[in-house]
Amino acid sequence: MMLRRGETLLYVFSTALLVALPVATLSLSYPFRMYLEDLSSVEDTGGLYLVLQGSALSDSILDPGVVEVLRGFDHIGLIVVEGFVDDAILSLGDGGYPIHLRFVDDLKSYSKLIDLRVEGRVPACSSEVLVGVSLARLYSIRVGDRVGIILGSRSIDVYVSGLARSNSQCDYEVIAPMGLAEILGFDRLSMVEFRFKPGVGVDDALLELSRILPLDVRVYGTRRIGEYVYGIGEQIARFLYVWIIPVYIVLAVSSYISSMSLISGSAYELSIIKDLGAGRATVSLSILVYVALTSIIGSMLGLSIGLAGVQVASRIIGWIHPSISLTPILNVYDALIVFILSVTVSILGSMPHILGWVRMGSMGGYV
Amino acid sequence: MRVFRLLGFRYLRVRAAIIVVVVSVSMLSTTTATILNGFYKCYTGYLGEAADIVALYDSGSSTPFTGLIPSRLADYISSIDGVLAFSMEVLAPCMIYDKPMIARGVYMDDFLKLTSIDIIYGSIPSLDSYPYALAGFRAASRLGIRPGVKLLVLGVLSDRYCEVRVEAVYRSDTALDDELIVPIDVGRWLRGIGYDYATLFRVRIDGSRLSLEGFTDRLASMIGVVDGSDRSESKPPRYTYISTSIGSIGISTIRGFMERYIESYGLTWWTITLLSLSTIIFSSLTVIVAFKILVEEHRFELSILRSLGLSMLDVRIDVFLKIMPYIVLSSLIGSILALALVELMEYYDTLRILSYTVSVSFDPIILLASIVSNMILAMISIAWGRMG
Repeated sequence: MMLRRGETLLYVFSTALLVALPVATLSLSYPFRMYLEDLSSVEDTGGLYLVLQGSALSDSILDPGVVEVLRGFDHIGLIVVEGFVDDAILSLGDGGYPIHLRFVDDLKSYSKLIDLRVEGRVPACSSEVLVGVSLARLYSIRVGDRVGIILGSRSIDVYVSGLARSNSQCDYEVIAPMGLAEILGFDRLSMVEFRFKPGVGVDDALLELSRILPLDVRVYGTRRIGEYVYGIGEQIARFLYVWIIPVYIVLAVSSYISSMSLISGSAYELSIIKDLGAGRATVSLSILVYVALTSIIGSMLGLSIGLAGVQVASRIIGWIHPSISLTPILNVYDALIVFILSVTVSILGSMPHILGWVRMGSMGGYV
Repeated sequence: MRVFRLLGFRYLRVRAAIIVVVVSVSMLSTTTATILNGFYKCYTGYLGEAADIVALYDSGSSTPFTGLIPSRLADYISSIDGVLAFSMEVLAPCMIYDKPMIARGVYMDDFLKLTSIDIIYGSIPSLDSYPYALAGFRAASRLGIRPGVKLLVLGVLSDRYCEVRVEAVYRSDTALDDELIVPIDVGRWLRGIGYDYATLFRVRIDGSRLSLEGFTDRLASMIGVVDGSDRSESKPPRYTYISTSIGSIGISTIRGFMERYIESYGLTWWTITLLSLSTIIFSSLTVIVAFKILVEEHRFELSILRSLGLSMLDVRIDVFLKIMPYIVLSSLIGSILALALVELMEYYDTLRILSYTVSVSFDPIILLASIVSNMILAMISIAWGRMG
């Protein structure tokens, strides 16, 4: 052994203990991260999709060409084209109330699309509407009532053919056939709602859609559990990686101080090597190789200590609190990252002192 | 005390590297302890800290967001003598601008009786029915929104969406600051449940007239009578855990409500303390090596002191007394750096876990623990080192 055993062991163990820290944290969080990753890879097929050309329903103006593209897309099952207004007025006997008004091109398909349950019947002509159950309750509207709808400068009296319930935004809206839009002078399309056909690979289909739709058209999906969980997992990963920074700062400082202890503690051995004729470059390279080897051993030991320590700790916690089940797992990728980072940081941390020693050593210092 | 007379004898030169070791180790342990402490406080205080507020929840659910209890409980709760106010709430995970968020559906008037929020911009809307939203200031900053903006909120557990208009931005200095408050029906749509369900109830009880046990007994007796009478109000959709059994309704303090969830994932106060301590233990050898070097470097001076007739203990005490101010100062600097780092993490939005920002605050106990642990480690290395 080129340098002293005691100092070398200290170097190895101080590195190992610090490396054990991120190993323990990553292995403890791994099952949870994996759970999130599994969830995020679940492909959803039952979601409702919205296509907008704008950031909000009421601001969106959809090009009719987009509707044609969507209608021609093989993977889409149910599809409905809609107009949406958020500044219409519901005129009742005692005054006018602001409402959301939704024009739908095919009310039967729409009923299937959003699982709309109608008390009464679906409108049969342009002068009939559905009123959402919550809106109806708020203004005491019943099936068979006549209500006024004002949009801009135009108004019309319509017949309430049914009350609609879907446990959605529609419950507070008036839903009308697209024909009423023409009467009220509303001449644009706001959005398309659709569902994919059963068995369609949603991710691939969405990718294909994004290629054929104009850049300013966006497809929004509901029930995208995968995306949500991915976002949550990303938060946790980002937090862990940032938290690891101070650990590696300590590791760099620890390497610096350990190399200091290693070199000053082995001053006698190093002076002998020099006296035997070894040049400055040879001695410094030897120290560097030695430090690298001890860093590698320390990091490997750290991986084992971290994993074993967290296993023991989780068992103890499990005995104390039987309801808590922790299953730490060290993923190969995490282990490799921690190992490479630890060895690199350890070597970099000890470099300033080794270089300083070489400089001072050549001038007769230290040794 | 002979040893104190040596204090004026200045022979100890403390290398900057040794101070850097103590500073960095303190920074690591303080950062970890502060974040873990903040995490625990953030989640246990998720629904507030008030001792007179109890939570009613689905005890069969594995997260605070996925359980469901019947809305009809509102009728029973309101009829119990000693209940001052209550709030029925629905928590719904959702996506806004591709970011995961939590929307909390409430009846605004009831909610405000139990929760104090400061409106920063805008004003509280008067109608519950209109699809408005109030954004917590952190949520607003993350989404880049202000009052007047229309938001398309997409359900995660349901195939529903809703366009809401942001009416106000508020601050509560709780986890609520990361949420969006919406009318209760909007919460139900986004959660994918019928109008006859909610996620939880928060109830303020008058402690002088009603205890938690008394409240539980009264509610249990009322529910027991009508259990199962009106279960089929609406057909619940997929991804919904429906709690129809009265036995599965949990009642506890709001702190106990959250403790139950986070402790089921192993995050008890003890494990958090243990995790904080582990950073000190795992970096202890570095501190010991640093002080060992200090002692080794002064072996000549220490041997002179020994030859002047000082005992080993006197020399050790003297070295310890001389390095004590350095330890205190370095630990303090380390803790200040840790707080700066945590602030930086908060600024760059890396302190967000499960959609909530871990709000951290300075805890003097953590600083004290850092100083004391460094002193103990210094003592060990001085006791271990060769004194001349």
